This record gives sequence, C-alpha cells and structure tokens, in this order.
Amino acid sequence: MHHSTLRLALTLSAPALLALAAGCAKDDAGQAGAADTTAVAAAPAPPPPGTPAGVQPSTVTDPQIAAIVVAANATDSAGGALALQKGSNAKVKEFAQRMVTDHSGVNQQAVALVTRLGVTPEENNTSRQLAQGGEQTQQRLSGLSGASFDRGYIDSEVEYHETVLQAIDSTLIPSAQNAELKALLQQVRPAIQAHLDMAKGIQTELQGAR
Amino acid sequence: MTPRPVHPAVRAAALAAALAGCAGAAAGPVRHDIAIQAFVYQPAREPVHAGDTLVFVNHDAVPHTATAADGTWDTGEIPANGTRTVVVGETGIGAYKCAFHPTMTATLTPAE
Repeated sequence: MHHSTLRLALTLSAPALLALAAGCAKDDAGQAGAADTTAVAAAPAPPPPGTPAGVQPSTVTDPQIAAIVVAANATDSAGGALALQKGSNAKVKEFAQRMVTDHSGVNQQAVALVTRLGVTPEENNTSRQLAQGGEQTQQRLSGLSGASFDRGYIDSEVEYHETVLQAIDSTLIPSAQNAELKALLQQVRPAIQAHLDMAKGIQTELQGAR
Repeated sequence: MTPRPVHPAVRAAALAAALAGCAGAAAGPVRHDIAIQAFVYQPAREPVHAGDTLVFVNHDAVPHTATAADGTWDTGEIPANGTRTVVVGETGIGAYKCAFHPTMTATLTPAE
C-alpha cells in the first residue's frame, strides 16, 4: 500500500490502547469528537457496503500502529534494562535480559519493515500513553529494591504483556491495512504470549517464595 | 568398439558392491530440517535415528535455541535468521525446548 493511501486509510483518532484493552471507555473523544467514542468501543469490522474507500470505523492507521509497536518495544526494553541493574533474583534477571534482547530484535524487524514500506511512525495517544506509562512504572520501580523490586517488576511485566496481547488481538491486527505489517503483528504475537507465560511462571515462583 | 566380456565372478562382485552401497545409503545418517517460526518448532514431532543430523533454521526476529531435555545436545544460540546443526545421539531422542523461551517445546521420536 502506498504511503499516502496508508495515511488516508483510516479516519478515527487513535484509541487509547491501554484503556481499550482494559475495557475502559476513556479515549480520544475529547479531541476527535463524540462520534468516535461509540466507534472505538466496538470491535473493528469490515466496512459496510457503500462505505467510501479508505474509511473504516474503530481502527488505528498503519503509521499509528508503527508508532505503537516502536513505543511498546522501547518501553519493555527499558524496563528490562532497569531490572538488569536492580533485580536480585537470578530468574528475574534472566527474564529481563530476554526482554531486552527480544524486544530489541522485534523493534529492528519492525523498523526495517516500515522503512521499506515508506511508513513514517505517527505519534498518537496510544503510543504516548505507552511511553508515559513505562516511565511511571520505571519511576515506581526505581524506589524499590531486592525482593520487592523483583516482585514489582514481574507483576508489571505480567500486566504489560497481557495488555499488549489484548491490544494486538482487538485493535492492532484487525486494523492493520498493509499485509506485511499485519503479518509482522501476527509474528510478534507468539513472542508476547511466550513472554507472558514466562512472566507468570516467575510470578508464581516469587509468590511461593514469600 | 566391441565391449569386452565380463567374467561372471566380476559381474557378481560388482552387483554385490552396488547392493551394499544402496543398503549403506539407506541406513546412513539422515538430515532433518526443522524450522523455527512464530515461536514454534516445525515439525513439532520428528522421527529420527541416533546419528541423524538436525538442521534448525530460525525464521523469527529473536534468538532461540534447541536444547535436549536430557542435555545431550544443544544448538546454542540460533540468531535471528540463523542456522545451527547438531547430531543427535542415542539418548538425545526425546523432548527438547528453547532454553530462552521454555514454553517452546518439541519432540524427537525413535524412527522405525
């Protein structure tokens, strides 16, 4: 898909992905108009017959998806870097290293794809919320140490991966217009699922060690 | 040019050698290609003999390993888009997993 087509493809404001995934109704309606609020709450669906070409409800654009993917990977890589410094449990540190390595790899793949496609990542409320949420989590975790940090980090990783997984399923994959971008998201999904399973396993171990 | 007659004993020896060669090829080590894609080993179950070669190709954007549950063989890190080869021994036929992502598992089964 041509870049200009990508930009025109979808008209809604970027939904607040985290809020959407959490089932919260708060979104960008204040900026984009009340009509968007209803549309955001519904699962993306094919446009009804007669819909003007390039106009679909309840979606984010490919440039916005690109920005969300970059922000999501950067957020978790930064969290992993902090855990490598402050973590005390060996499995927590091993997991943190895996997050840094894997999310860096996925990000490289994503950046290479959008560069090749000529898609310029477009900041949006969702990508900004991911970045801000990551910073807030970093600040909160920075005040912890030892076992408290380990538990706090793993708890946040479970929550983060659950949220991202739900967003991938409910918003990102259904909204992606470019076939290669959609395929990338489908390839990323198993990584997020594996990370979630790993984090839950460590979370259970840490709870048992209390 | 007229072909020279072949002594029956020579002919029999050649035939035996050819048969032995065929039998040897059939019984020799076999190469098995196993793809890693979307955090899954494909195929997830592969019949092998001891001495066979396993060739793992990682199509994911992140590194993986293929590591025998009993520790007898290990590819080590297979980088994104990388390939690693191992030879499986008698005791290595069984479950294996990714050391980096333990939820990734697969099995080598004894070939008949």
